Amino acid sequence: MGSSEITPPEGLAGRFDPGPPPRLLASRCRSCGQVAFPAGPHCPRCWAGTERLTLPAEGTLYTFTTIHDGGGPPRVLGYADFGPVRVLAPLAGAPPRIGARVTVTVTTLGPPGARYPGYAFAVSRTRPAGYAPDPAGGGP
Amino acid sequence: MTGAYLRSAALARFGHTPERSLQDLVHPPIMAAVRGAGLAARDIDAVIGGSYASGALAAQRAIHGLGLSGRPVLNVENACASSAAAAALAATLVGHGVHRHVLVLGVEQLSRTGSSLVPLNPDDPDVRLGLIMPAAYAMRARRYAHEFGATAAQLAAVSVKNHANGALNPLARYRQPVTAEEVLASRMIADPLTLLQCCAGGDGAGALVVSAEPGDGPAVRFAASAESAGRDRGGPADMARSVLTAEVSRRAYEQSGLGPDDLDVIELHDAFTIAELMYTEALGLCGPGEGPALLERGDTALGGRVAVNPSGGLLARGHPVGATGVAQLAEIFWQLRGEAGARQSRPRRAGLTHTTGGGIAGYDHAACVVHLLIRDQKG
Repeated sequence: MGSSEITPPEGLAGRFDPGPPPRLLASRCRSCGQVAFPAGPHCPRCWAGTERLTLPAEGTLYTFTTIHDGGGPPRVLGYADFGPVRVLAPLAGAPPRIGARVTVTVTTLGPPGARYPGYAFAVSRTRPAGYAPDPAGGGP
Repeated sequence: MTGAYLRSAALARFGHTPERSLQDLVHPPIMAAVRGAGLAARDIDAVIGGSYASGALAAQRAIHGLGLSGRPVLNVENACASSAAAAALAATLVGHGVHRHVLVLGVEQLSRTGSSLVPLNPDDPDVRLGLIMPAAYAMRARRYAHEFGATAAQLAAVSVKNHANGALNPLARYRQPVTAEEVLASRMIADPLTLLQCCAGGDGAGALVVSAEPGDGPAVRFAASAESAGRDRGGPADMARSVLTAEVSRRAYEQSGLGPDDLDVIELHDAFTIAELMYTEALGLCGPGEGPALLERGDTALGGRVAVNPSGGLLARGHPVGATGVAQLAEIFWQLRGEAGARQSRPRRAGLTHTTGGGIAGYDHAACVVHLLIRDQKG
């Protein structure tokens, strides 16, 4: 079995480099090339050792929802694709649309009194190259 | 394999009963199931309990005072699929001749957790990022609408159908029919899912006896039981299609020699409206994106080609997490034996239960269990 300096992250720590600029941290298998997020010391496919892979600065929004928890203001959560991995995070910035460009930002999450550092995605107002308008109008 | 029969089933009405103890909740269905099987406590070889948030040793606590201990008692936890997985284990043990009569329990008391949401692990990374189960399904719904053009009204139609079925079920928590307008006008939870498109947790309990021989009346046999955890892909692979349900149901069809066209009745995991649309597709009743048309044609209505969620499903019967698998199997048992009362639109021979468990980061789904049940022809 190969070796790796990567330790499995607990919670959100180790999932991102706060930068600047902030980036998500994955791992790539030294043997088969499989990419994993969050980073892990062993390839989930072949168990060989891994190396650090910094994911692209920009992702593409795959889906999202606005959550009405009751009490607090609505909050938006979405999945975005950064290269080969699909990552969940709170959304901020422009109104989200499937296919929109997002970038990683650093934020603080959790309830008052139990806050912890985390990441969010800022939705860009500009459309990516080759962007096709959503025929369904962005959702039901 | 010698075969395993679902010999009896009993269910307490689901609801919100924080004043009741665990034993108070589960003892009536246990006694009804054992008596319904024509057995006594001494005949039961093993007890397998499914529960999610009832704490340690839920099965031992549940059976306390009924003389059912002093034999193997196991606890199965697989989130929403806990008691469906307990039943799969029972069918395997009985089918391989390890035990003759196994009592399966499903029990949950979410009212005692103090939240209407299914409790998730607070240390889970997705939970730390703010994920709740309605949001996970809402994001599936938005992606599904994006890929297939489904409308809000088509989502609402699932809730209308299942509440209409629940109105006919004395054991359902919600027995009021709802209109599409009411569904869409109810409070937004995670868009596009409104309150009446989300199941409620609550409290509930049920019991089954799985036996090597059938008891009195029509014999209901386990034709297949298949289960799997989702793939550890790091994130959800395809949120518009349920890859795991498709894989597990394909295995169940292969084991049994039955296919989706053979089914008369299905209880599937409609935790949210979008779930039923995606799961009817993944179970092979129709192609990807064709779930709304299947529903609109009436194919999945009580009197349709294959009744889906005749009990009212999770949406109307309620979803006390660990009790749901047993409740689904109980409904199929009654449907196949012709004992489903107002929900029995016609005789039925083959039925399927489908239960999924979610709520963990890094998997496309935590667990999926599919049972195929068949009423044996009397020889």
